[in-house]
Amino acid sequence: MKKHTFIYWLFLLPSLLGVALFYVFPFLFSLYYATVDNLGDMRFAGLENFADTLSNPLFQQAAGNTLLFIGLCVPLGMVLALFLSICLQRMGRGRVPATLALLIPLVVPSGSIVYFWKVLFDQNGLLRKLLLQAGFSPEIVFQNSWAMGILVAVFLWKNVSYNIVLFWSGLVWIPKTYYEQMALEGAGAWRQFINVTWVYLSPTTFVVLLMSIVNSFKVFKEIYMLYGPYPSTDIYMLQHYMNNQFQSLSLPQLCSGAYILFLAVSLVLLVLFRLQKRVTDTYQ
Amino acid sequence: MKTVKPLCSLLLVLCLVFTCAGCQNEQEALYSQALSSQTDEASAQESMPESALQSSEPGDGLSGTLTIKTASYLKNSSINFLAEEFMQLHPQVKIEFDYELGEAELNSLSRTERNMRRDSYYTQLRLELASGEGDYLLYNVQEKLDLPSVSGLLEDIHEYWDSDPDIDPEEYFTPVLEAFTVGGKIPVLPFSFKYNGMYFSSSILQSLSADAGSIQSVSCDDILDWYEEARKSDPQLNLIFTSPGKDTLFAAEKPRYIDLENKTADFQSPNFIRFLERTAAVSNEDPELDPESEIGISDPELMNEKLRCLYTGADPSVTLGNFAELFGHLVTASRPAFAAQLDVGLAEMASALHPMEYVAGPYPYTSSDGKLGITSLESFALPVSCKNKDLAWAFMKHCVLPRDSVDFSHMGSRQRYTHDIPLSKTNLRNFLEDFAENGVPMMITEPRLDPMDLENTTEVLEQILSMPLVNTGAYGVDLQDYLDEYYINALTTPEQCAEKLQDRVNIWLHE
Repeated sequence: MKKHTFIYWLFLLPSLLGVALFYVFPFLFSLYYATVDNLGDMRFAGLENFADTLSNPLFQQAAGNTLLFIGLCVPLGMVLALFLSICLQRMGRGRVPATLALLIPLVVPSGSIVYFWKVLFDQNGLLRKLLLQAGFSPEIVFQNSWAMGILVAVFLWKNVSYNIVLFWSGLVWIPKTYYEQMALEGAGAWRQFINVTWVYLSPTTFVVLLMSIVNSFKVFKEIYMLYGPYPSTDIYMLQHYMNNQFQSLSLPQLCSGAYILFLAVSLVLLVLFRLQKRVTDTYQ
Repeated sequence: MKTVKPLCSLLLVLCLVFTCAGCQNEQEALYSQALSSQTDEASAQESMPESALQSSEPGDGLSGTLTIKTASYLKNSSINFLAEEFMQLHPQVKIEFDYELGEAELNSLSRTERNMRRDSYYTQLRLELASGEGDYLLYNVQEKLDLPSVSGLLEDIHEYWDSDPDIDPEEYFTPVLEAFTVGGKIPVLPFSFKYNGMYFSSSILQSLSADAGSIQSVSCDDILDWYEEARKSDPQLNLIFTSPGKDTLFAAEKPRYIDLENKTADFQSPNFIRFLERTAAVSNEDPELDPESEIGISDPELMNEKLRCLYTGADPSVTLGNFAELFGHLVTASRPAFAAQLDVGLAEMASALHPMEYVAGPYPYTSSDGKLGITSLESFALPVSCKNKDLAWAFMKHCVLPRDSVDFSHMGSRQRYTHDIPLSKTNLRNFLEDFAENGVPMMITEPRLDPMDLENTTEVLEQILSMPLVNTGAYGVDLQDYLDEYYINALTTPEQCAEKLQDRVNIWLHE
């Protein structure tokens, strides 16, 4: 047994070394960078960088925008995905082309998607020209306050199909007999959804929620391609803050911001896991 | 299948054997080469006479190699001669230059390509500074290095300046040094500087009842007020000679709307929106000039010749002399303009006492709230990661200290120590004395300075430097895309442009 354990560790060693080298050590080393004043003097500054970052109005703006974006995209994405997956499940003919149409944004590269949206929403884009030709002022669409709406639309269009796949895999495992039983007892579609679908889908819903939160951070590449590294402050996200700090090599500010984000996300995940456990226990 | 497996294994083993054997040979070759070069160096050092290992001045202790890093090759620049001079004084010192753009590249690449190479150079530079690999002295970097973000990676010149007994603060124009302060530190030491200047058409000033002799300084608002008044009688009048761009006035006006200390910006104020509207409305077209080589050559002497030819019918090929071939077309084909913008260096400052016939100036050109921008192309920055800081400081000091001669004639060259205003008052006086004796080195004429004007010129400069000074390099946030969007492509309204500028500057201030 000991020999087998040794061999197991031996096979795991390269991967563990890689994880340590590229994840663990940088994670710990960035804590060091977060506690020095600058890269020149490297004097220990304690929690000063964290305090400066938290009180930085730009960081606060970025955090607020990121929260707003997550707050809009995650629930909308989940509701839309659940609705579409239920519709797809109940479709007879036309299910395959509909599924194909919904999954295409998932496999198309981000650059192509951004290009498509630029054609529509750019300053010289198609939508602007159509509005002008129709006699409307395009300014109402191209004001900075609409930029968040455009981003939410891009995110949902690209990522809702991923949630559809997850929900669909959860829906498939719900026994049909439960629906038949509810139908025999006179329950309508809504009661069936609440008492059967929602209950048995709760583990899947939790996974979709987690994945949606993770994917909402990945929208940075679309924003970057659409608006560059310095978009308007309405859509300036935490990822912009960190990317620009990295570009200007302000590592203390970057690392302190990253650690603050790490702690915030850890807290959220902890709450979600506890909530999920409580819900699961309740239904069991 | 039974034979394939052993065959593959054998093949693999053979490949490994050959590869290792080859590497071993190559490694052995490299090792022996390295060993032999070390042996050569050691024997060379042993054979050097003992006296050569000592510095020329007893107790000097300066030795080693100093690398000066800069973006572009500096042919015939004074820094080359200063380095040569320093090496002659300290034989144990070697100064090398590290350029991103060599002479061949400067001549062969287009402007866009050169700018791209410079951008990548500055990115690489920041990386080297941050990783502690910046073992060099930086020259002429402040425009692009975004000083507020890298000030922690550069030494505070204050520490060297205040503690060195050779430096007498009274000898230098200290307001200029204070203008280069970032966060209480001086990361950049200029040994010369220029300030924003503006020239005007004398006849237009006269028609506006503005006394050219009594103007102390001009602001953006003044320029636009005069221009709009003058344009009533000549709608085709351009604002700036050879049309450098409608955003030309923005650079000087920027410090009015950015407060670096409090990290605030005010681009959405009615004043700035009005500024955008007024500058967008100016006439700025020179369709007959070559965009690559003639547009933006806002030289007041050429403007003077332009006006001479316009008013007197003179032939530019005659009046321009040796410069007729180079600038004849520019003088002929350019449209009449109200002003010419040129940073004021030594020659421009001295020539103010001998006004041109048709062009008045230079006048200090300030933002609308009175801030005068200064800049320095001859400046040093000392990275924290530089290993031989004593040597680097000694060289910087050598460039800044008062010197007897204004040129390097003692080294066989007429190259001047600087073409900008030296930081040292003694050096400035020496230059003014030289101008009195040999003439002011302008492009077309060389007016001689009256010795009686020497004191006056210095006094005028002291007065100018008593204005609030700002280092234009400290406001290095890139806003060109938004300005082009507004001025060139007309894609945004003034309010939208102001909003974008405000957002961008806010991000820059707080990142």
